[in-house]
Amino acid sequence: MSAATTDQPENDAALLRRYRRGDADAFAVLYARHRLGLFRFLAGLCGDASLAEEIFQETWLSLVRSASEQQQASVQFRSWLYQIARNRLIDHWRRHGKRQGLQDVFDEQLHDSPADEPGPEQQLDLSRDRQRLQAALDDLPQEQREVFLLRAHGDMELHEIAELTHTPAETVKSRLRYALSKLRRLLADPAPTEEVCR
Amino acid sequence: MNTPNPERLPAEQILLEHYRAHETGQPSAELDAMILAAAREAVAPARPSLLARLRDLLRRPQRFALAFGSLASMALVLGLVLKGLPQEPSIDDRQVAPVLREELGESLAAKRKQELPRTAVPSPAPLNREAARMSAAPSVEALADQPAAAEIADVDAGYAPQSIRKPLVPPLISELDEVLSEVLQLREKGLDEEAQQLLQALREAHPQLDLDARLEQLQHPDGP
Repeated sequence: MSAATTDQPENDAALLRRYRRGDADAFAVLYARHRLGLFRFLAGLCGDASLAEEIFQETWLSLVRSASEQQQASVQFRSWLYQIARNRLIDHWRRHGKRQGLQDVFDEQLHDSPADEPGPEQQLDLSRDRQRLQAALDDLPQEQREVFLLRAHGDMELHEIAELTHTPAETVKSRLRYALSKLRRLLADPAPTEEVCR
Repeated sequence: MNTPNPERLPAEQILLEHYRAHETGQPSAELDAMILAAAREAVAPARPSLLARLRDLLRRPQRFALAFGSLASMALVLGLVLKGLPQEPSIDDRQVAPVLREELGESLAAKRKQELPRTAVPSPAPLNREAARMSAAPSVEALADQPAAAEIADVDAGYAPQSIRKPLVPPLISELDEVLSEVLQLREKGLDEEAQQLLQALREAHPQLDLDARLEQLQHPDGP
C-alpha cells in the first residue's frame, strides 16, 4: 500500500508548499502539469491567443509573487489557479470596456434557446474538424462556453466549476448539458453551416 | 491530467476527447522560459548586503581573532624593526648630557687657542661674540626686542649654532642697561656732571646706538 502511495505523483498543494520553501523544481512540476490546460481554457474563453498569453503570464506571475499558500485545504490548486486566471480576464475586459457575459445574470431562457444562426464570418471554410469545433465553441453563449472549457481543459467536476464561477451547481449542470448538446449537433451535422456559406 | 472519468457519460467523454485531440494552442517557449525563470528568481536566496556580511564576519569568533592576532603581530614586528635601526647622533641635540657638553666646550676652547696665533682676525669664539655683536647692533631698541636680537644673532650664523647663540643676547642688554642705570642713579644723586661724562663715554664707545632713547625707556618703564 505504501508502494502505491509513493508511486502516486505528488499533489499540487504539496508541490506549492515545496516551492514556497524555496524549491524551484516543484514549481516547474506544477507548471508542466497545468500550463496546457490553463492556456487552452483562456484561449477558448477569450478567443484571442495573444490576450490568452498575456493573462496566462499574469496568472503565473501573480502566483509566483504571492507569498500565500493555498488558502483552503478543500480548494484544489487547480481551481485556485483557474480562479486567478478567470478574475484576471474579467479585469481585463472591464478595463477595456468589453461587456462580458460571465457576470450576467443567468437567464435559463437564453440558455434554453441557443443561437441557431452562426455568424457569417464563422461559417467560412468549416471543412476541418478543428475549425468546426472552434466555430461551434465560439457560437456558444459565454457562460456555457466557460463551463465546457473548465470541464474539458481543467477536468473539473461540476461542484468545482460551481464554486469557481460562483454559480449554483444545478445551473452549471444545465449549462454544460446545453453546451454539449449543441457541440454534438454541430459536429455531427455541418450541413447547415455549409448551406449558409453558399 | 485529462484522464477519462468513468463517472461521466460516454457521449460526453467522447466529445471531450475529440475536442482535446483537436486543440493545438499552447504557450510559446519564450513565455515558458520567462515564467520559469521568474519563479526560480523569486525563491533564489538574496545576496546579503555588505553590512550583513560584516556582521556575519564579526559573529565568527575564530576568524575575528585570527585577523586581530595577525594585525597585532605585524605591529609588533614593525616596532622592533624600527627600534633596531641605527640612529645618527646629533651635536645640536639639547638632550646631550651636561658632562658631555662640558667636554665638548673644553675641546672647542683648546682648539681655538691653538688657532688664535695663526689668524689675523680673531675667531668668533663665544667670548668675543659679545663685542662683535655690539658693533653690529643697529639700535638699543632692537637689542631689547627679542625677535630683533635674534636677527642680530643671525650675523653669527656662520660659526655658532642657533641653540648656543640665543642665550648670549640678554647679557648684552643687561650690561648696557646696567651702565645706563648708573647714569640715572648719578643724576638722581645730583651728580649730573659725572653722569654726563659716563654717558658721553658710552656714546663714544657705541656711536651707532641710540642711548638716549634707551635711557628714556629705563627712566619710564611703564611709559608709551
